[in-house]
Amino acid sequence: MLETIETNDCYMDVVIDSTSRFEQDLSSMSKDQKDLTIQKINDCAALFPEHKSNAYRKLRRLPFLPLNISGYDSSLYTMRISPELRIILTVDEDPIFGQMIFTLFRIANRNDFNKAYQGVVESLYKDLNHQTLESVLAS
Amino acid sequence: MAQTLTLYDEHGIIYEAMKILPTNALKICFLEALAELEDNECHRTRKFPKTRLHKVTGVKQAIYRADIDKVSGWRIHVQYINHQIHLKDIIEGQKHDNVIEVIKSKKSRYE
Repeated sequence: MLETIETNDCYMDVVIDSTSRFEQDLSSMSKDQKDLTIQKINDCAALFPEHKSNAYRKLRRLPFLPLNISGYDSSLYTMRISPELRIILTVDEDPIFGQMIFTLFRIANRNDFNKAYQGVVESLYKDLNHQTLESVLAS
Repeated sequence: MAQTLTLYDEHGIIYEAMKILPTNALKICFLEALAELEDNECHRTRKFPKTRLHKVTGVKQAIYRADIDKVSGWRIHVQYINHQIHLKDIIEGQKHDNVIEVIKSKKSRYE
């Protein structure tokens, strides 16, 4: 049996925040797709308090992810819903408030994924070093 | 006397703040913000009414944004490492994009 190494950090609460664009994307989906999306989010969130490593295995970083923003690492991920659909989200560990924060930004299909992803990157990191952001978006 | 966390200023943020904050009122607000950030009671109760401390979204490290002043938008970035507060940056206010504005927040389950 595969054993995973858990860190000592214990986050009692998982907070799931969603943006208006995410809610718009969700409302435009069929009921089946919507139910599946919500189930995938909740399944992943439920793993975090005790099986953090397993939860991170459900998330994926992209090759053109901004790995380093002003010396920081990105917590931006994608989560697969179906062969066609992905959620773009951040997963932030918040030690001061003892919580994990999921922030749901977009649900995108294969055709508009790159545009949606770049939009999220641009908004998310505009506070940080602009020069770094420009190089990320140009890559 | 209030118990405090250790506050580090390796990047000279306090000096920079005194140099760039445009008014004496903002400089006093900055000192009040520092006092709250190092106040152990605020960390115990997880309440930061002055600075409205919150985790910066999208960054893996424990970087937090703390308001110096709610109206002007001046704020501090701090990093939390092993129960210590490290001052990282002081930032002038700017409007936030709607894309990252959270409209719904749920605990444990999305509904």
